[in-house]
Amino acid sequence: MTGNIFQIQRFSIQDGPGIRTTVFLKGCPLRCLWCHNPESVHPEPHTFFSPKQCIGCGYCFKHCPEQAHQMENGVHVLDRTRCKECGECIKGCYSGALEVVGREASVEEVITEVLKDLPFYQTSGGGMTLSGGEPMAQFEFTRELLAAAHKAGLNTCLETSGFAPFERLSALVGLVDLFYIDCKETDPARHLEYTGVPLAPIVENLTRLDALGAVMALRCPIIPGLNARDDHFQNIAALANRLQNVKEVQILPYHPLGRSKLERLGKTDLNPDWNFPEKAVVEYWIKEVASHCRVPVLQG
Amino acid sequence: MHTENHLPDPELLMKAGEPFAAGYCECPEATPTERYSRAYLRWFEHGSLPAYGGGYLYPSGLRSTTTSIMAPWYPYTFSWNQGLLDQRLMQVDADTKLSLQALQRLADAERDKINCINNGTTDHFVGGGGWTHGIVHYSRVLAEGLDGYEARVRAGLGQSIDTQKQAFYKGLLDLLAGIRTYHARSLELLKQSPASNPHRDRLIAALARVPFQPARSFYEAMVAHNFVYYLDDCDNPGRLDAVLWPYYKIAPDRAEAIAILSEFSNNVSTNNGWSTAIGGSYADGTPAYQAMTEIVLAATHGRYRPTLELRVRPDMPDALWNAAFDSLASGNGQPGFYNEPEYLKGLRESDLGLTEEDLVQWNGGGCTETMIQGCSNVGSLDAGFNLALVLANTIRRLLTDDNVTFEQVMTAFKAALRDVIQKVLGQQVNSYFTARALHRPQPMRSLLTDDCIARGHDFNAGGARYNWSIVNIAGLANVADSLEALRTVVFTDKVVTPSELRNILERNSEGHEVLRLRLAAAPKYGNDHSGVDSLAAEVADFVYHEIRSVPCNRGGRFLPAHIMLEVYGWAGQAVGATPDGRRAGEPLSDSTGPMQGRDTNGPTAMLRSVARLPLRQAIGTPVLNMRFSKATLANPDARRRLRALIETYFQLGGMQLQITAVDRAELEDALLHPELHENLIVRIGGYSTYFNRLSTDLKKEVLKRTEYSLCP
Repeated sequence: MTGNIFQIQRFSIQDGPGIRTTVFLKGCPLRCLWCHNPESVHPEPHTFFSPKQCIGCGYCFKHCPEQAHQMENGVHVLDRTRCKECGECIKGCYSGALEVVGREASVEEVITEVLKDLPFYQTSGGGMTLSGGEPMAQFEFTRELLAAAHKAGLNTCLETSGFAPFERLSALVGLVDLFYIDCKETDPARHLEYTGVPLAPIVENLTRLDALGAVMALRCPIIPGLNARDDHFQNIAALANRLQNVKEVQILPYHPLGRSKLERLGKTDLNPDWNFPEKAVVEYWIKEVASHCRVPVLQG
Repeated sequence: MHTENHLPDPELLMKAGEPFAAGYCECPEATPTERYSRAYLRWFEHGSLPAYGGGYLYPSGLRSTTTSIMAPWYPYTFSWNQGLLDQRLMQVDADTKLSLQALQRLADAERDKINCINNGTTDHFVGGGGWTHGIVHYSRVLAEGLDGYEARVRAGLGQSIDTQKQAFYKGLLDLLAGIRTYHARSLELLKQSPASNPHRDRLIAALARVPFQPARSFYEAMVAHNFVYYLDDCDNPGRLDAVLWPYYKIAPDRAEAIAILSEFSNNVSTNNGWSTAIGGSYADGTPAYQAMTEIVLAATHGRYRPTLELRVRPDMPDALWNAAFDSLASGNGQPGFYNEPEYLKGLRESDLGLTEEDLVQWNGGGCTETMIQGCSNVGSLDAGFNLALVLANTIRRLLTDDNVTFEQVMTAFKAALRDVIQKVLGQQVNSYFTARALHRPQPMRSLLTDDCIARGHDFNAGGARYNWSIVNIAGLANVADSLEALRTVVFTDKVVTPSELRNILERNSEGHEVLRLRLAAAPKYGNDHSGVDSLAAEVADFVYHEIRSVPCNRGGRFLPAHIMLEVYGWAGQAVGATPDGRRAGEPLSDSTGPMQGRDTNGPTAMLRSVARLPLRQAIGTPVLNMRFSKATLANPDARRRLRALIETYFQLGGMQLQITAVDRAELEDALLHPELHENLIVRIGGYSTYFNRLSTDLKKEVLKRTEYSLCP
């Protein structure tokens, strides 16, 4: 059993209790406007290009079968319309200018890497978190990984948008200690506009997961100008109040770190004006959600 | 009338403000031990007394307020100030000048007698030269009093028929007479000080008793401890919690204990004093954590010294973990964390003849070199080996032949290592020990270290109960990274031939930046990569074994260590470009850690890499430095993770961890505006020091260390 991943991050400290390893799976059915892992959207491997790192050795110019690497006005550019993602140019690039993002990996290979830190999980109560991308987009692979981790006695977390057939989510209930639910927008029309998928099936999935006793935490990315609205804050609290097994709400203030990745993927920045929100603004968001909410509201 | 053979005139030397030299020159025909003891006597009679600061303790502040050409000095028996001598020669009358010139000849001759060590080790630039520390048997001084010591010396003298031993005991009586004079002068100075000092009368009353008679209270114990610490030239304050606990528990007063210990800690800091190991075990195997352990941590907040070594057992109380993190949060890089079970095991395995009672008295001397409090004479750094230099030379010699294999490189590298280790330790360092035993007695150390009095032997001549020697190892990560790059890029991928690589390295990779980057991109030690980590472990195992196998003529063993102090910056200067992508002259890696900035896979991976080394064999001291963001210590979740990291590293066999919790931004600012960061303390090699005292290059190396964040 294999799947597509783009990173295994050891000592991951933001994705659950204790010391953890987070496995990032590639491919996502959503198209969130603010996506901070744009390299995760497509399931196939991608070429990252950072022109500033280029030392001009000429390897890629010589070895690209499509002549996608060119000099324009003395600047090294990668013509994405020609690039077939064959990876030939990356093989001889040691400056870090060209990198491949994403690879196919077996369950065994991933778990072997994850289990390297087993003693650290045991002392800290940590384990493995699956994130993405959208892990549910590679359901079988996700299930196998969780089953293997569970068998090894690891604490397991799954980060998902909840946009998946319910049968698949319910099949994981016994294998996941904590579901991190990415709660992106609570207004149905805006949800469709911002993420490209409808809200209703997600809400229904959460309701049914709750009925099965799945322990959940809501993770809410807040983006100024889009969902940083009082009605959204109140709806987050209402959702958390309604779902009995939500233990925590995390507010994730927008960060523009995905932008440099967009450049390296050869894409344009949708909204270059977005930036880190002020601390006082974030504190207001948290207070606003917390004032209506029965569970702890934290900055994530 | 004066000839080249004339000896210096003690009277003239005394008038010239040189009591130690005058004492040394009084009886030219006496044994070295008698001569240096007489030097101490005159030093204590006529040397300067520190001013009384009005606090709980005396002496206080700088141990000596005047400078002398010749003065007592614990590493080498005496210190020598050539600049001051040159200056005096221009100021004094003709007769005094002749005496000072004769003194110069005498000192030169004394230095030549033990100079055998320097020829071999300086090639390696990584410590050595026979620098040493020691740790007084504080518990015994407090319990027995120096009167008891004098009684033992007199008994020894009465019983000995051997003239060498008689001379040794007579010397110690001279020394004790000197201490009594110094003590009396101190009391007089205190009596002359303003009576308005709130602690004066209590201090006078305590000093009227200690350190000659046994201490009866915590305060008397502290006064005695501090006084003896100054007698010993302000080296290591010893195991403060264990030594003071029996007195503290008589009438516990935490606030007063903190106030007095805080003043003592200031004395240690002012004199660049060294280490105290706290916590750990009793000889019966039970944990030795008590109220004093926490008090020592609390009393040293923000202090630059002593260097605290917290001996961590799995059953260390939660409250002490928190007290340790509170201490780290105060910004002094204290304490370092030491794996008690592994240290005990490592010392037992080293076959040093330690009893269980003595074993649990282990305490780092100096930065963190493993010693036994009160009864050991350990050469802190008797030699050092620069592995990167040996590898660079091997490559230069061997890679002229393109038919050479990787296995042949490894074999030749190991042979070169064995050769240099045998030569330096077996010949130079052992000759140095012999010379030192003959020519450099240390009367103060002999008085205060068991079993010198019982055996009738000087500290440097086999008097101490335990004797061993610590040997530094530099550049392990550079060597592992270089060997891995050679194996993959040259011998497996055959990107260049061996001779091409040799020539490219000789030219410092100029014109071959792509190759250099390719070498730098090969797997690096510190990322939990089994291939390169195995090479590190293989080289470490070989070097440890070779060092431990050389017979050590001071007794005990040569014990390997990785302790780069401030030398890892310039240890690289002598080393040309290496196959790990490092350019010629660039610094080497720090201690057992990865090359600065090359660990990119997080702290768990780094710790697993280091724990693959057979660290217990490097019991001399296997230092590992880590840098964390400051927020780590403010956040309870992050503290739990830090504790889990340390505990897991120790479960994996890690021996010690030294932590700097300073943010990158603060270090960067301190680089630009040192005047705004006078109190910024960082861990270097094995100890805490002020950031501003480092060279610019070394400051940049500290910045290059990976900063780990333990909180989101």
